[in-house]
Amino acid sequence: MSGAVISRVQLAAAHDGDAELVVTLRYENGGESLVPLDEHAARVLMGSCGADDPDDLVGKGWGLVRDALEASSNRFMNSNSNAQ
Amino acid sequence: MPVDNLSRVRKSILPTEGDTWSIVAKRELPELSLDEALAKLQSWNLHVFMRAAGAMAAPGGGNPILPSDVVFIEPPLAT
Amino acid sequence: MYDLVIRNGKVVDGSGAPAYSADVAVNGNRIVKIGKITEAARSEVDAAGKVVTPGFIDPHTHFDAQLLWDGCAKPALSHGVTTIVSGNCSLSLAPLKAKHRMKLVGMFNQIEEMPLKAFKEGVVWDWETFSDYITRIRKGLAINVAPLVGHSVIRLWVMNDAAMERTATDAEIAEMQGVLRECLDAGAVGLSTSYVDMDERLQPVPSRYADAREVDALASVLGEYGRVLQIVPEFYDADLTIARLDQLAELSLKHNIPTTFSPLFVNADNLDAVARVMKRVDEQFDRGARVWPQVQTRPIDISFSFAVPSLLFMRMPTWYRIIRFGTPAEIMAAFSDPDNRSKLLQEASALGPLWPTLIFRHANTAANQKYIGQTLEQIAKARGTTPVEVMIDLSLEEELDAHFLSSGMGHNNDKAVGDLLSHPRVHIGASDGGAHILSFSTYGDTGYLFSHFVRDLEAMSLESAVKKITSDTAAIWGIPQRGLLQEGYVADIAVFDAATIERGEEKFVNDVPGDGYRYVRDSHGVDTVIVGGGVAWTAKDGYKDACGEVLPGAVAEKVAA
Repeated sequence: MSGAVISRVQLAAAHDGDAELVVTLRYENGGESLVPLDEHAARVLMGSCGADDPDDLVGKGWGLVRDALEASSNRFMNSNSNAQ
Repeated sequence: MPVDNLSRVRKSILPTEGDTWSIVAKRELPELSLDEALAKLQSWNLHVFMRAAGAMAAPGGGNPILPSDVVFIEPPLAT
Repeated sequence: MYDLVIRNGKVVDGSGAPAYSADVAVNGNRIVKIGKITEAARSEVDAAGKVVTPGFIDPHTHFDAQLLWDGCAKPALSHGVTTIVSGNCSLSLAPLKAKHRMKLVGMFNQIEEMPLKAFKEGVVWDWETFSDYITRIRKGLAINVAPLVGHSVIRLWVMNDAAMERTATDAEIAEMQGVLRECLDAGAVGLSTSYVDMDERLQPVPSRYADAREVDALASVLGEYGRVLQIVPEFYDADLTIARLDQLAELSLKHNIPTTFSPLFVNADNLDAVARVMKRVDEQFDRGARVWPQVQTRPIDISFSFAVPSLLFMRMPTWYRIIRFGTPAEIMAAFSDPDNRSKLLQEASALGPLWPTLIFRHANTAANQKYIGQTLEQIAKARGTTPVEVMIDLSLEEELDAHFLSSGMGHNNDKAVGDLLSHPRVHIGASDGGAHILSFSTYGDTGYLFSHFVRDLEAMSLESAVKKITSDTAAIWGIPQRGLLQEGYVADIAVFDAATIERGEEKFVNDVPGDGYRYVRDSHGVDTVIVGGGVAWTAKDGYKDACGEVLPGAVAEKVAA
């Protein structure tokens, strides 16, 4: 696995009026990217990292972010319901 | 302004027919082992995971690359 | 004798030229004279102390459904908006086969928060083709509509379920080109596509299954007509946005079409990102490409209730644990328990400055209606308690269906947003009018432009701001003979008081079919709105004439040819 890790965590306003968690990933070359997580993804990420506070996510690897995004995105795939 | 004069931005590709994570990894990062290339590629393209797998997903294959995706083939540029 | 004369106003003609005193005369739907007018008129508007400008054009809306029951696109018209662009983000209501209706309704519900019940009770589905939809909305149209056709619906029309499964074959692409031509012939102003949107199961919308070859083929059809391509890029990431605008630039150059992407936001954590995007925009314009970023004027608010977990509370573990994992009964029990409550209050003190500013925006009980629109500080004062306790108490009294708003949480850097709005290559838009109706009000962005960026911050002149949302917009979208106050131009006109124009407070109203509600804002300072020479709205009498048209219309077709 490459070594991109979370370097910063912020709460932000999403375009639809919800709050979202924006994690900054820092790559081995020093480059950075911002990844927004919705409430579901943020909860999964906090859980998988054993974090109580969003700042506890700093230093965690990108793979956990990917898995949280994937878990959130696929949460309705096995459901016949439109309810969210 | 000619194309050559555009400033350097992060390199990306648009997928071609039949592209998967593995195919793109082998084609764009041939100097790396497949596992390492896959990991790098996915770490640079987390936006692909921000949606349900959909009908193009192979069972257990994770989120597939869609025909419209921008796929980065290098990390974000350092400032 | 003229049909209409607007007297004694200050004309801001939309060109960016300095304001000047003049009267404006209208015959039929045309401006026929600007200057000192002594002749009588059948109808007169006294604009003394006010400015007279072209009607505003809102380039990013989702009024597609609302237009079926409301030809005024209320309250947009009352804010001085005389033309709206509908069908953004790959979604339009036509062309649409009967069997795909519920699929599309699901997408509108997920992406634009248009309630399912509004579709069920407010829409008589009597069209399939784009042409029939246009015929349908033309009846009773009081505002002009420049409709985009959505890439996702064209895909659904041609490919049925396969639209969300795979790339198109050569034959299917050719068929899509034919459908797009039919839509453009029927009055579509262009094509919209999306690279971010998802349906109700979070699966990508059909346009996201298109490869570059398909988009290029559709853009080539736009090139035949000189019409616009609108996209939603992955706007949360600057590198992705730049990659998309590079794609757009190539399409713009190859097919000689205008393109626009929306939205582009400025947040505290992405000032550098916006600068990088704008540098690329400049570079591409310098090559001759037309890639217009759309920037909204209003800041982004965060709204929440304790019925749905909000990340706003993520840095307060006791709060977050309760609202994330508790049932409604458990949340209410936790809010009521004195020990737990004191723990919550203590933890909330970390965000001390936030609570007094929160606005109470929705309650079900009659008793609490009097507090709607007030800050928690105001309500706390009236009740003799603290803002955080008021938030908890109101939530208990409303059985958690109390809604609060934290305003200006994003896109809130006045200097950066003001600079961006003034940038000659930024297209002011992205209002999202008609969408997100249960989350926030998408109306009044033009009032906010004038009150906040022109009057309060002096970030731009009145003349520049008017130009940005009138003639600039008309030019970008290829809408001829609108956007300027000039003899021979169509009489789409706004009359307002530059000293008082602003957006009203947000309010929750029950005017959506199916007994539905939405957030809206009234206009303040707007006096009269004229569409196609007819007085469409006045502050005194409300909505009046219905002279709206579908644009760009026949004149544009001739121009393009």
